[in-house]
Amino acid sequence: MKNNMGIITNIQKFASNDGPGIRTTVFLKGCRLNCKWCHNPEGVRHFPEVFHFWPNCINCGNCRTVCPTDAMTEVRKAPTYPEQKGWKGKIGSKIIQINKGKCLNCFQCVDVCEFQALIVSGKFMTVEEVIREVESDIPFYNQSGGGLTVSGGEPTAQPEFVLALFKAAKERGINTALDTCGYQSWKILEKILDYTDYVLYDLKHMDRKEHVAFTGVSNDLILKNLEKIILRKEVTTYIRLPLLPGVNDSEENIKATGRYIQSLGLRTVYLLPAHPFAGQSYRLVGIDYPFPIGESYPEEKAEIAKSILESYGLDVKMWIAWVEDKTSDQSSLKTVRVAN
Amino acid sequence: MPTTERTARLKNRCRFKHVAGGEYVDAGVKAGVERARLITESHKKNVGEANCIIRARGLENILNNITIHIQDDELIVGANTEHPDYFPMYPELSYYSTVDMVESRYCDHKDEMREIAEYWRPYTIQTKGEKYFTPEEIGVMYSATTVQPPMFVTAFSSIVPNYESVIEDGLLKRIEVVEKNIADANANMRKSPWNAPENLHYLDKLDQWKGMVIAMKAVVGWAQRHARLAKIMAENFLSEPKRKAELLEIADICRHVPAYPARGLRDAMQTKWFTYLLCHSIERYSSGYGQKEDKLLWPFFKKSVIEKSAQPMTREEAVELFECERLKVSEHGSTKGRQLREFFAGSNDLFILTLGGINPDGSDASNDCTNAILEATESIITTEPSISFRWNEKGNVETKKKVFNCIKKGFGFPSIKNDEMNTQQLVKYFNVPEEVARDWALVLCMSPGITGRRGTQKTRSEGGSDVYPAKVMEIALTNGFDEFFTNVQLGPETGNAAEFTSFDQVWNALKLQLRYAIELSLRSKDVGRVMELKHLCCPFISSIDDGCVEKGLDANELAEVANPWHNIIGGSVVVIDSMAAIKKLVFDEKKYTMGELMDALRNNWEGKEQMRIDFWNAPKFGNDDDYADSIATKYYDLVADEWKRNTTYSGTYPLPLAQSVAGYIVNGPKTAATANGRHAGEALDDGGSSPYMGCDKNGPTAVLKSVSKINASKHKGILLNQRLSTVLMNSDSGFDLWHAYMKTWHSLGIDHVQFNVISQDDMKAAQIEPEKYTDTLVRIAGYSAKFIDLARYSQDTIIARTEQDIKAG
Repeated sequence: MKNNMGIITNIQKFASNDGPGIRTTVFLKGCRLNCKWCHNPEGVRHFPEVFHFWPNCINCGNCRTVCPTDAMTEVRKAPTYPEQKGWKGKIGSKIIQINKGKCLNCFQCVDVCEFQALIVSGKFMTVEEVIREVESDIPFYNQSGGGLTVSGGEPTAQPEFVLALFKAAKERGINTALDTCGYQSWKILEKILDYTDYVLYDLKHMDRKEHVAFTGVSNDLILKNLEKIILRKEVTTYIRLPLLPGVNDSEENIKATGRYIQSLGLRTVYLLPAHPFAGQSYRLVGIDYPFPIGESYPEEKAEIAKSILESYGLDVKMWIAWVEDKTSDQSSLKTVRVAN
Repeated sequence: MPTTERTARLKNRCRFKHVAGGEYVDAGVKAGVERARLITESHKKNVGEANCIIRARGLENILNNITIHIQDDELIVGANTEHPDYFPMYPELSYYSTVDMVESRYCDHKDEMREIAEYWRPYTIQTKGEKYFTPEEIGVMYSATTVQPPMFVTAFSSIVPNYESVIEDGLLKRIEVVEKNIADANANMRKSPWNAPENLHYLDKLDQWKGMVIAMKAVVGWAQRHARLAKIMAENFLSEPKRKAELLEIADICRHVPAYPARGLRDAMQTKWFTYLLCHSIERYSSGYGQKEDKLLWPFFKKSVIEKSAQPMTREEAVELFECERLKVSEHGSTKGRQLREFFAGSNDLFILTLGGINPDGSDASNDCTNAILEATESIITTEPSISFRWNEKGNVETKKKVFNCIKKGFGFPSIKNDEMNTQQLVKYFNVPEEVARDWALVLCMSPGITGRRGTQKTRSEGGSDVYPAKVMEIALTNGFDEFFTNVQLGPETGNAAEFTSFDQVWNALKLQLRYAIELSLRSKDVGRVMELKHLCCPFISSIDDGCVEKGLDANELAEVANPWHNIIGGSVVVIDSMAAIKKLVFDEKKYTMGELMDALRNNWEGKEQMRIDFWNAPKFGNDDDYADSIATKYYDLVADEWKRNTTYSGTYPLPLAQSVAGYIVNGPKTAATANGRHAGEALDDGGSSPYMGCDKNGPTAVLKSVSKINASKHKGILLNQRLSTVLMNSDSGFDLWHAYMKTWHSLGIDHVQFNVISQDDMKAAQIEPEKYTDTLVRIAGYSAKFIDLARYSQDTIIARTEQDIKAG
């Protein structure tokens, strides 16, 4: 497995929501699904692309002079949602916008942008480069039971890279967690599981039709794979259930989910209510966000979902880290750092 | 929430004496005049006596005549002034500080106080000390640009009183001991034949001992006055039986202590409070609340709360007593000149007590008294006193959980110190026996010192005072001349940076400027020390130190255990980041010349935004990036080596201590643009090794890794501020994650860490509706403050600190 490169959007240290302990989460770029609510839209496409980090843009015009396809248009700077964090300069001043249909991702504009308003999301990195970042936090893993998590995007969309990365982690005594939607052939998944300690498994919808409607694929393979994963004794599986308003939070679906998890003999479920910061990332990616932006999932509704699941004897943990004031400007900046 | 109705009422009417922008926040705060009046009256009568006698008589006159008061609901009684709204004045210390107070709106007795200030002017330690410096040196020091003004003008000091000896012995027994020393000395001097070398040293000692007796007798009398007041109030003015009984108990306690040894927890607490007032605020002014409180009170906690053999009380009553203590400290007014009032933005003074660690025999020192103190801290919610927790591997998890609970609530304390490392520092550098070193407590914000019956630190001229590194770096580039703020030659001529051709030249200029600043500072402290021992004897402070009693020496003079340190305040990381940027962009990559950089800095980056961004994006400390971190290591080693070249009063070299108080805010406006991409006037970094605001982009683990590269064992302490997310801390796994983080911190050999746990939303909301956020506390540096008490500028710098958060995966 030589020249093993992956496309990475971000390496997040001190991650505490992606498995046990203090972890380093590696976000891989590219996903098989196309979930309408995806909160990491920068991880959807399989190739490096230009992001427009608009808070830094002063409309100097440098990018337009070099763009071979004339993909830049001028728009008025507007907040994505009220009380937007991270604004520099006046709302209403002009900034550029990238027409994604025209953009070739040649990155010439990135080179000429002096204000770090145009940045590349997605960077090719070798296993060695990634593992060097990961192993620098070994003292924290040792004290907390943490380790490496791969997330995305969909990590199994880059199976050879993940496999090599997990092997490298194991050689260094670092435990591994795979954050996956499960949409991958069992043959490939199986190989990765040989080097996996924890699986964080998303159950997005129990209804086949609805699953197709919102993610673009059916859930047959996903459920089948889960049923196989839980037979592997050396792997600990946690179910993650994102709660999206009007998508999968009907009483019926939550009950179906609870019943299913119970039937598998699993106990721990993590409930992930929608968070308000994806909207901003959408704007960076240059696609429209289909849901109300800037609203947190209502706490009472999340509590109802929790109690329904608990009625199936499940141990439900709510992960609401994202309602914290965390400007996605900042997290995008982190993306920038790794991407550069 | 306060645990009882009593403490709720006490908190509600507590007269906080916080300052913001150099002024007291509460409009009712006034300068009390009685102390100044009484000490002046006595001085006039006793001029001509030995200084220790003059000082003892002064203390005696204050204690015999100052108005005393007991407030409703109080369990701990006694104050430093005639009125709970007041703070005292010290005309014998610094003429400038006194005049500053007298001419402020806080002083209502202007004519009388002006006369007092002028009377004292020739006797102040300021006047005495200034004589040994040239006008140019005085100008540099008083400008508060590269160094803190000397102690003889700020009147600032630090002390760790020997609480143990008062609590264990009682003053009457100590008076007996001193009187026996006097009798023995007199007998020896009358032995035949006369032998001058063997006996003449007794002359000074006799004066000292006599001063101690006068002082201790006056203190016992002062406590008796409180006992009488409580009794009179109970018997004549109160019908409510419960309060009446409480007052009679207070009368009983004040009759008993500090004259006799403490019987139970109430006695011990009252003795401690009286001793605190005398040592920190009445005999002279000293900052701090230095004590190993859980160790000090544990025997009495055991007797009263657990065994119920003396002054029995329930555990809830003990927690209430600790709440009362915190409110007593919150109400305590200290007096400082303007520069220091600005430095302690949002606070009253630097009150810091120490908990945790291990006992002299190596066992875990955290006990149920530790837990009760932490519980009271969590419930009463006051910024003062701050707490330092000694993190030892052996410390039990239950107590650490209580520490976590306070941090989680956003108090900003306890701050955490590495126990083993601080113990070893005292052993290695100051020759303290290990079992004595194991009882260490912080003297002030960050600096460990011994506690106990003898040899504790008595004055800030032993350890303390500051060098301001960002300003030193600035003048290292401008031939020692301050072009930005004072237009004065602040240091030696070390060349114009535009002509520097190598990084070593830049580094060398910094070294020489630091050398000048530290040497001037140290000289001013040691000159001050001699002025203190000659002109500012402290007979009561001396009387409770076994060493001073034995040797007949004033506490300022005796240096049984050396503890010298000198702070580098706010700006170390600006220096490191600036040096890294210069090295990278000017000398490695040659993208800019020194000439271009100096032009840009002089013009505050005007028209050079692209260049500024380059410097801002150069490697920064705090990201586990060896380029910047190796410069940090080199810088901290440089400071340690420069400090080490000197020998201070107590016979050894000082250690550096990197921290910031609010110096990063106060000194920012005095500092020109810097090569880390910072504009002129902007805040400096907010703590010894805390990354510059917004510059730690790699998460808290990378910060710890960067900090761990500094050889902290060469330093007295290095402060580290971290902001942790409220959600992380409040989640189910919050404690486990924090505990793992702390264990890693400990294993990396880092000296210190403290946390702000408050969301940006809450802080911004508090800026808009301050009245709803009266209990929102934030960590400044060595202390915590109410967020709403801070100036807007300070608030914004805290909001700008990078919040270490977990990302939504």
